[in-house]
Amino acid sequence: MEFIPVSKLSHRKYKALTKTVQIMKLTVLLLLTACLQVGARGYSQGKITISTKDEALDKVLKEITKQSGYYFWSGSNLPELSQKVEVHIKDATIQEAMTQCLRGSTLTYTISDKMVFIKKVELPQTPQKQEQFTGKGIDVKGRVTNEQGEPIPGATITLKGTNVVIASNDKGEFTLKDIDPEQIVVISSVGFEAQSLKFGGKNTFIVVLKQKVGMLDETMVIGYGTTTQRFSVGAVSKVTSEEIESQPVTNPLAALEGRVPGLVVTQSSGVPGASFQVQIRGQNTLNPNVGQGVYPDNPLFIIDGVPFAPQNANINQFTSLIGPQPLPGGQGQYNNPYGGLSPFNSINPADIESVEVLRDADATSIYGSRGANGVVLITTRKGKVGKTKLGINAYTGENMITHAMPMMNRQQYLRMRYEAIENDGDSLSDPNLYAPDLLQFDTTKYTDWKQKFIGGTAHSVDINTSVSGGTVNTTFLIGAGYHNENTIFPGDFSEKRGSVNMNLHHSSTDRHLSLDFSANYSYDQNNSSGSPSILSAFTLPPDYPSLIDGKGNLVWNYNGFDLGNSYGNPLAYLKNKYLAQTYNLISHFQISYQVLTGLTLRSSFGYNTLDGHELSETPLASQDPAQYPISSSNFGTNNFQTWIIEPQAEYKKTIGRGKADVLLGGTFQQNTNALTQISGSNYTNDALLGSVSAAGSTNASDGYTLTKYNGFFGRLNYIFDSRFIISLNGRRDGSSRFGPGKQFGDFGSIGGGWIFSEESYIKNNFHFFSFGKLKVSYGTTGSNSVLDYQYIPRWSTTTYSYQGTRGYEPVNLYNPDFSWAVNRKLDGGIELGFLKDRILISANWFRNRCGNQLISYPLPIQTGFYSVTQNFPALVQNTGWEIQLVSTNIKTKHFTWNSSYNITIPNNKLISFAGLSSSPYFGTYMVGRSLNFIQGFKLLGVNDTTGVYEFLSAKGIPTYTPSQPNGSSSGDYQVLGNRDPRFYGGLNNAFNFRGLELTVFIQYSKQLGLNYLGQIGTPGSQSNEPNALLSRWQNPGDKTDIAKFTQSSGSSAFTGWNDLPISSGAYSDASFVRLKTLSLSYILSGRYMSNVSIESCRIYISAQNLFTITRYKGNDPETQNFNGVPPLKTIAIGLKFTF
Amino acid sequence: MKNKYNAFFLKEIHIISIWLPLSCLSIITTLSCTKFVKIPSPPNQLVTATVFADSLDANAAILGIYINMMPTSRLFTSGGITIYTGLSSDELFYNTGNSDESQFYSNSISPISNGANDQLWVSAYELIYQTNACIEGLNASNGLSVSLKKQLVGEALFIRAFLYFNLTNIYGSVPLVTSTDYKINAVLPRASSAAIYMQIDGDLNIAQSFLPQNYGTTGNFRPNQFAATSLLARVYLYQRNWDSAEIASSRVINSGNYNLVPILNDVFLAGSNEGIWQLVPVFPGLETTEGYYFVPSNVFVVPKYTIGPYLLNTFESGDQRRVDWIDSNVVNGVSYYYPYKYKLGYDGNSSPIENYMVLRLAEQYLIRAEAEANGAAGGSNAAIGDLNVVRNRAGLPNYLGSTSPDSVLNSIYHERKVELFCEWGHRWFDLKRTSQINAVLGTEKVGWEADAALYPIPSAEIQLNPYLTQNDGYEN
Repeated sequence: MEFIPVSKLSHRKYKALTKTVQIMKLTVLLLLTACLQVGARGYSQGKITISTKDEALDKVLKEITKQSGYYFWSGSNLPELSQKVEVHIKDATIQEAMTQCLRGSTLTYTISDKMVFIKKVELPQTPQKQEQFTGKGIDVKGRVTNEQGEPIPGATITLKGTNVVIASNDKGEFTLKDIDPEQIVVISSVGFEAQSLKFGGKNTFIVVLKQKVGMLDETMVIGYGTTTQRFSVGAVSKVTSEEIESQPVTNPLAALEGRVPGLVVTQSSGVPGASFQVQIRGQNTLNPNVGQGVYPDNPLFIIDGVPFAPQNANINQFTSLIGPQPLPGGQGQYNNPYGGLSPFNSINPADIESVEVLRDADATSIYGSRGANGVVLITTRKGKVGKTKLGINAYTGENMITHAMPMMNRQQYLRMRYEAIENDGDSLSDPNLYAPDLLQFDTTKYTDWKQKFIGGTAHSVDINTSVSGGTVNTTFLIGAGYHNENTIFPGDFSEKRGSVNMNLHHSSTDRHLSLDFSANYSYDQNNSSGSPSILSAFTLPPDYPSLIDGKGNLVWNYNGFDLGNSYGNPLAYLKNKYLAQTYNLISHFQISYQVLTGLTLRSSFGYNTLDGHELSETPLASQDPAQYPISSSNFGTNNFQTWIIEPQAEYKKTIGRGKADVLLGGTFQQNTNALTQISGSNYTNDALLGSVSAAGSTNASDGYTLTKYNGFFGRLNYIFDSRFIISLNGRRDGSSRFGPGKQFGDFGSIGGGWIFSEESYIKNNFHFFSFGKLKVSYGTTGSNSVLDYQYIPRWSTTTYSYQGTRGYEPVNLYNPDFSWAVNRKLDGGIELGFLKDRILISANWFRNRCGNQLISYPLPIQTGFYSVTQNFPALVQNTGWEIQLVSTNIKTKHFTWNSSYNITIPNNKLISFAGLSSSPYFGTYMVGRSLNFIQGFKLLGVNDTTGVYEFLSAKGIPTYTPSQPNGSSSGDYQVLGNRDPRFYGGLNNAFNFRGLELTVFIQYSKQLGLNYLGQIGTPGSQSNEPNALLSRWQNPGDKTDIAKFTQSSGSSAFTGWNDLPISSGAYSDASFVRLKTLSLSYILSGRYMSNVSIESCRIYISAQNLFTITRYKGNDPETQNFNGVPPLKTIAIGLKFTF
Repeated sequence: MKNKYNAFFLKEIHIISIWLPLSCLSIITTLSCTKFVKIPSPPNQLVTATVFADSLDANAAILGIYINMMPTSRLFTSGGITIYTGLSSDELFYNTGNSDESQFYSNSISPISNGANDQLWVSAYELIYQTNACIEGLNASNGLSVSLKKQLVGEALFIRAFLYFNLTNIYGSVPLVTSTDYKINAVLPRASSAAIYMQIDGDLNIAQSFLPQNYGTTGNFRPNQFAATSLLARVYLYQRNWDSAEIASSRVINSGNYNLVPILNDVFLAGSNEGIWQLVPVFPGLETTEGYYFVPSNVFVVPKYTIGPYLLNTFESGDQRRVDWIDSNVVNGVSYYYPYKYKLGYDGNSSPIENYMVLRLAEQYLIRAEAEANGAAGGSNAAIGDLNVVRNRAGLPNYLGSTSPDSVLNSIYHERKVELFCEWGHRWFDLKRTSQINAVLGTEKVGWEADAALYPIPSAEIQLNPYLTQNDGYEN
């Protein structure tokens, strides 16, 4: 190992430094040589010594690279690089060296990180020469910096209208003497956006230039650091604040739909506040708990470095319009098993600077035990150096249902009922016939219940303000937001959010010490109904009696028929007040100190608490007096907390032509979740339902979990000659979710990239080709997504008492032996840039294999419980292609057209499953097929003679009564396909013409889905049905796909309708192309705005879910839910000011 | 310049000397820090060992069983058996439009889509687990007195036997689970009815010897020795073991602890002297679940469940039970009759006025009568005597029919029908065990099929345990 001594240091200090540096080098080198056959040559801290005459400039630059580790970027081959230069420097800094090298040439340079960009000076340079200003001029001292406050040397300062051009020095400083205060000055530098300004009367000035970067060099946030697309070997996608801002949505997850390859975001309901399911690169885990509210394989969510305490778990404990709580072991009410109140309602989308979605092993294995299902990093906005800016953005919008199937009207309904009774050979006079809708109700009365309950329009208002700015040392941002949205249901329901956020950054003048602090606080309030039954109220018979009487009281008894015994009174549910309040605080503090050049120690501290409070009231007024009404109220609190401390050390070093970046760190994290439920009943007055103490009797229960994580991680990233990249990640992780001896696991990844466009052969021969990279990564990540304490046998107290004493009941089956699920991820990709990166294409292929499945293994109830937590040796594979294309189609002075397109073609497969046929999964899963495969009877159609659904038996024989699976026989079940999307993605087009901007975002998905036929009751019984069913079979010879109406459970037609939901008839194409976002905005011109001191003003109109093209049979192909509320269409109009 | 640099460098060295060891330390501790990820058990829960460590806790574990037997919904031990078998037999009709109930009524229960049947099965096995967990925990405990341990084990065994008795009478062969080991239990196939009866017999005999003769301070809300004996008497009866049935029921009748409450309206009150075992409703303000579902809360509505003609018309004239235990609402001129043994639904009382009667003395008289009529000690004459005890209490004169065993037996069957109607499935079970079911329901129910005598095993359970099989007639 070669080492050039730093001669100017005294012997003692030199020794100490040498030792430290040597140790570091040694560490780095050991790590490196283990994986990379590169002859690394070490150099000291960038001191350059060159003495040469008549040497070509590019040769000199190569020598500088060799000595300093800075390397050069000139974009294209400049002829000036071959000019001969004379340089004599000793122990010079890079700036000194560059100034010498470029002296007298027409080239200029800028330094960013360890890159030196060389470019031709566009104007004839006459440095340090200045024409005299004849009037009374002023002297100006200025400093040019980037947004981070770092100086920009070599920036050009041009006095407009003159040919005066000067350059800033090493510290970014410049001096102008005797200039006209009204003189327009243009300051520019390579890689930055030029800025023109007047100095006015000021004598000292800081000019902050905004970095102008191509997509390839934009900063991307990754685990414990940042990178750029150019040098990343991981699969990371970024959603920017602009993309989020263009969508009038409440929940940040909604803004991600269709925008990221490999990411599927699905809305559970159109009711405001409802949850979103998120999956990255498919389902990895067997999911026996369908219907128990646990959506499998949510990614890890991290907000500003703090793992979001509730993650993507629903935070409600009680049922509401949003969150029907599934019945134990059942399929969940209203076909919405994952419905609930989303914790992300607490995050204001306007506070978000970017969302990065990490997918492959290289990007996720540093998260060890929790990276198996990908990672979503949310970064909030930060202040920028510059004058203090006030921003205000406000919009108001209207929301309504996109599409809902029209229902039968009164005549159609009655015809259906009479026809069904006739078909069944029954008679209205039969005393055993249960038909209150025909016998008791007034059949001449008609109400359109659909229109009445979900036909309304909701309004939303959203206001965001922020103040930001700062000096080179300190930047800040303070913001506040308010959002209010009511619902399409009649009644006073709403979703409200108020939030404040703050971001502070400070760095010492020498830039060695830096402090970052951020805090977000929000209050979210969801008013809704405590009973979701209103969701299916539109299926009431059209002749159902009026729900309220003349005095406004609920009607329960219609001519002796007790409505409460069957359909109930949906309007009652509007009296079931439900209120959820969520308080969320996320704060993060990071201190970092650069102890040596290249070595930074830092520690971050994060805290997040999300406190949910719920109140669900059941007043007497909402109940049938004939059903023993009991006034009751449920009070719930649900608190999630996370604290995290992560000490880290990062060492950056140039070795030869390579740059190494080593990160070591540790994680100490603790999550708690504490919940209480108090149920009060027997109130004397409905008005007191909000009070616990007014309850005649109360019962309480609580829950508590504590999870601790402890990890140690490291990363080594080495970029050689801007061409080769190698990246190693490792983590040892411990989790308290596992029993003694099972707590720790090791995870790691290796990734490599080759930027082949840097090879001179390609550079010289393919000029249209501006960027090309091949990359590959492989590694492991873990998943610990099970409940806490599953390895201990536990008992809890019962809710009620027996003879005054509380009892105990067992809580779980315990298993001391389970541990991590391991996901092995392989990823390969190619990234190409054409025409100076105007077209960027990236294609990724991935293969994730999740073995040692950690699951809630389903058990027959004869074991006492529905499941036990255990590892299972099934192997699930997700493979797929992710392709992304970004292009600037047209770019003229006044018109630009940018497009971006992404497509994902996923494939999910169960690779192996030992003993499947004798396991509870038999029939649920099949080796070689997707986890989401569907099986059921094969529907042959409606027999045109009998009008009854006919199915194909397993042997291919038509039958009316196919047999269900029984034991290890699969009966007449056959494979019908799978519900995974075949492909999905999005297409964005943005047009800009003189400040008028149009953004069109289209989301699409090709998939098979559950249609309405699988979700309706038997047509002919006492609930209303979609009028699409009118094409039913009526007479022999009728050819149709709707069987005859029936209402008697004994009829063969009824059996057919019963089998339909478990047959191919319930599934059909649910592909869709949706105009997800349409946004039109106009920036009012700056000139006349500046008169009222407005820097910019944008007026816009945005629409979400404007229309959907689909052949789906049902309400909405995304939610595929007949009873719920489909995603809403929103049209908003707004204004955005910056002062 | 140089000095400044040096000074700064010194500072750096200083900081390194603090930071480096610190980070090294944290890294090392991290690597070996299993301590950090050790967590205490949750504050609101106990681990099994502590639950059975002392008498208070162990007692609470048993109380947990009773509490879970008394949910507010219609489950295995909270009205489910009464209501659903009442619909399946010839006692009840439903007015709820509920499709599960329609299936019970029309004897066409779907193994796939009948949530009520699923929950019946589920709630039974959840309770069985709880009894098994208690039996294992108690047996392993060293912190309990012998007498308490015996009593608590006796209670758990008794309840387990009671659950299996009902399970096997509803479903036939069912998995016989007697431990908490899920690895074994998850794949248990169905045990024959005989094997289950053997287990019940064994459990009850141990319970009989373990349980105290007296209720102690608790009253009949927890079983004593005679509760075990009463259930044994029923089990012997069902197994046609007439002699043993007679001996067991005589033990109960002769104990002197119980007597038939003369006023019919008082039979189901809390602490009724006729009650051998009663369960206390636990939901605040709610009386029994059956009362809640049977008794409409006002007179204007059609009750949820109405008594059908086959039960209504079977009462002899003058039978006070027809008057006191059945009531009606008249809606639009039509009378709807409903069971009125329990008279209260929700009343907000902190301690219930009525308790849920599980075992009562009248049944013991009828068991003994039937055993005697079938040839056990005492014979037909004794049988008529026992029959008359029950008849007289209902305001009916002595039995005056023939003393031939068949005739007496038929009267006893009839008496069971009117005495024990809408109670714990007696009618449904009697029809089956006396082999009358096809004859009776064949004429009373449209499309009756013999296979409907057993309910289907929920398909979901068969799916989860491939060793389970379905009852005949339910393959689809």
